[in-house]
Amino acid sequence: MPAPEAAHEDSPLVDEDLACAAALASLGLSPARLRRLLLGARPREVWGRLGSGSHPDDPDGRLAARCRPGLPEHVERRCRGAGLSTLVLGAAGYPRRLADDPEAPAVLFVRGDGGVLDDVPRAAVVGTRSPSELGRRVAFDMGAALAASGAGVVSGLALGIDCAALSGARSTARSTVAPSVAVVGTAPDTLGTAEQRRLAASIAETGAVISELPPGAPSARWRFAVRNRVMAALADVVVVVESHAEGGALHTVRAARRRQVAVAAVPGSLRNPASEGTNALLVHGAFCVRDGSDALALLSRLTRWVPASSLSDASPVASPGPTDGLDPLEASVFDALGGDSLGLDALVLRTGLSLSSVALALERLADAGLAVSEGGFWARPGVAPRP
Amino acid sequence: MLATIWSATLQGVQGHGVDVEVHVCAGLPSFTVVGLPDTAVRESRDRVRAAVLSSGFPWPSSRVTVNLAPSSLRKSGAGLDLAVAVGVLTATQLLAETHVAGTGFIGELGLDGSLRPVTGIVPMVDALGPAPVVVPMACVAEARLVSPHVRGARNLSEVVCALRRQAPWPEATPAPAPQVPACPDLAEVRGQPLGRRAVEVAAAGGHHLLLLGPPGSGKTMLATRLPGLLPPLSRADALEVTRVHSAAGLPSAGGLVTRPPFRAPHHGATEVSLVGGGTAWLRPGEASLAHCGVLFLDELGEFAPAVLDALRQPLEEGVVRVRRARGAADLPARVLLVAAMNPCPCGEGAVRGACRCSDAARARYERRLSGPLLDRFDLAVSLSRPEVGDLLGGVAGESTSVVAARVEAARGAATTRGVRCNAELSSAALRACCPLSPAATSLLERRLLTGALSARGLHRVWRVARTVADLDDPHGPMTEQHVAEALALRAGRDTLTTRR
Repeated sequence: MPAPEAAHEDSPLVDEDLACAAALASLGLSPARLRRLLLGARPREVWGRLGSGSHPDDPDGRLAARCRPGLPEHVERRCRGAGLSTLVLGAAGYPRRLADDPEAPAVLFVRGDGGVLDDVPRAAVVGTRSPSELGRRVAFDMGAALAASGAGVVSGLALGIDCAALSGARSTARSTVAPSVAVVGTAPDTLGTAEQRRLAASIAETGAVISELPPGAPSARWRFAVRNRVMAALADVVVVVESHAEGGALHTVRAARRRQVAVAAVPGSLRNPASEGTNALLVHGAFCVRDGSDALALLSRLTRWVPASSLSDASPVASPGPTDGLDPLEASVFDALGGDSLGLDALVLRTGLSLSSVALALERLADAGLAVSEGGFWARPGVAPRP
Repeated sequence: MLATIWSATLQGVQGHGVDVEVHVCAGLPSFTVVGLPDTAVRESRDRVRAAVLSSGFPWPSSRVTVNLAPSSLRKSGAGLDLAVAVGVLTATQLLAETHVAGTGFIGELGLDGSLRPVTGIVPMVDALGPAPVVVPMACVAEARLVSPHVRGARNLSEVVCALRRQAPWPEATPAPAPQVPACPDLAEVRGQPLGRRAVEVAAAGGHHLLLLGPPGSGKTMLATRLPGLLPPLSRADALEVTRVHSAAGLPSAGGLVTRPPFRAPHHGATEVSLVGGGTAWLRPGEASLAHCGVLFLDELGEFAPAVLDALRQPLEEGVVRVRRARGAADLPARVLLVAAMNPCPCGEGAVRGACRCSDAARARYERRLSGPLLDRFDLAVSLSRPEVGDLLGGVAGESTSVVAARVEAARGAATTRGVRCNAELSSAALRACCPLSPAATSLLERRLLTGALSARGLHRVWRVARTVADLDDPHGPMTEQHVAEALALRAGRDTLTTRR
């Protein structure tokens, strides 16, 4: 059987081929079956044979029943309406990074510029949908630092770490900012929340939002797990910011390991369940990164690529200032805080002071920049930065 | 032959006098009730006839018409049975008109002629003014709270014998001493300095309180101990509460309600059950039953959002104005609202990192609480589970009686400012009688400048700070420390404002 690349490069695909490919992608087939169907054949022919019931891959005609005439035109109209371009594996325009992947999607729908998938080195920044505030902040800062230095960010556009990293990447205003890529598990036009839709629109301005599903196609839970292989295939390094012990981000890690893509993780507190997965990754040999500059250093070491700008202006974590000059009350509350993030209850019990004394001391510490509150919990700055 | 008997009916928590006119004349035997009766009143025809016959009196074999005046007022409940029966007996001249003139009759009849208690006896007797009233024996104690001339009877024959002066009115069984239900003691709450203080400040200042915390952090335990901290009801308040409870048919110990009520409706409550209403009766809801006391909404996030928002107006005005096509009622509802909820659907959100809820799930959960409702909580504290050491050993905190004494002193200070409690202080009164010290002003200024505090929030913090100061010393000044504590006592809101 000839290689798929050869098949399509001899005679370029015409619009009708793209429409048929999009229609095939809307049937809800598994990525592997879709790939098998389209391998080495023109989408138009595959669609025709399926529709007439004479395709060897569909002996019982189940698929033929779903190949309604007119579907390609319908799906193509919707793609055009949503501003999506259709990329077919093996045809011109399909990203090279993905084309070599053994599990490459046979059809990709791209909102934005499909060309950005190939250009710069990319880091996938992924993690849990229920992160701690600190994790969210780390992801945001990492996304911003990577994009500002010209490294692209790939993520999944799930609420939580994914969205935080992509928002960070979109927040930076430098001229060297690299385009971001969001790989979504739903159809590109059926994102869940307004925040995701806003972020997707912002990413598509310079980067790309890609999906294996055409507009309006229903998604399924398993789609979210299988799209992680696309992220792993597009990335030069996968950074997990926070993940629970059995988190979905670990799918991306497994996909990356199968492809020999480097995996890095951000260490977290032993008390934080949202860091259990990442801490375990570190134990099992993942690269350790703390922030964007660590991730950049790792990326340039792995790809021999030079970041566009150094991060010398990145501010180090604020260290607590001198505690001299505090009155004894404030000093004892400051001491009681230690490295923890504590509720008022715990502080009152730890210090043995009255609630009003503790409250006043905290207000004064906050004014002096020696304590910050977040969600009703108090900590020294740097322990739990406010987003 | 015509007889007119006084009785009363209930609408909302208000009694209304009703003239029961009974007309007996020649014609085909029939028994008609007119004058906007509801089903229970219309059914009284069969009860009254059976009761009259069972009591050994003849039933007229002629045309009986009963009119309930004023005919524009909707009559409900079975309380008019006795008046209809007495009216029939008077119209057929088994009773003389002089026997019944100027006397009110309220009670439900059984088929055997027995008199059954009715709900709402207090407002109904009140509506009849100083006139003597005949009520079922079981209602005598309640009725005597509002009228000195109350006669009790066990059945229709006793009423007739006494009216004919053939026998004296039966002696009322002495009312049992009102039982004050024992309130659990605050000393049983181990640890939880923040929660204990929040409950104390809520009781002292009448500030609505929101308790946030994971399951097992003692939210319900603290809330149930709040009524014990409140001072006993004043005579006027006690009468009003008794009237509402009587109208709602709450079982009473036969006396005045002297302790602030505590109502904790389940989160499946409907709008009508919470704020009152309904089509025919305009029954008081849980908010009115908690009048002058504590309305505790456990699992606030599980209540239907529309039901919670129906509470906004009563919380502001202290009264529920029920308006229906067929009637209207103003139900008193001046409550101290205490609500408890988990910070997120899994309940662990208050512990950093322990929550496994997705952002979307958290946002959905918090959206159930409207901003305006959240704004009405002056106090919001985030509780955590007590430490093991505190649970098993630890020093017991102050007991209810110690804290209640402080609360009473603080409430006394509020009355010198012309309000029942500090939560009712207007912003003008705040400026006039609770000046801020320069240090306290600068503390609040910083909060306002950083946007952590809104203008409305400022006045709420100010009132709470006054209450905190009152608990320290009812006549002392309000310092920076009091303001800092007031701010700390509403910091629990931060756990909820993750609405990204």
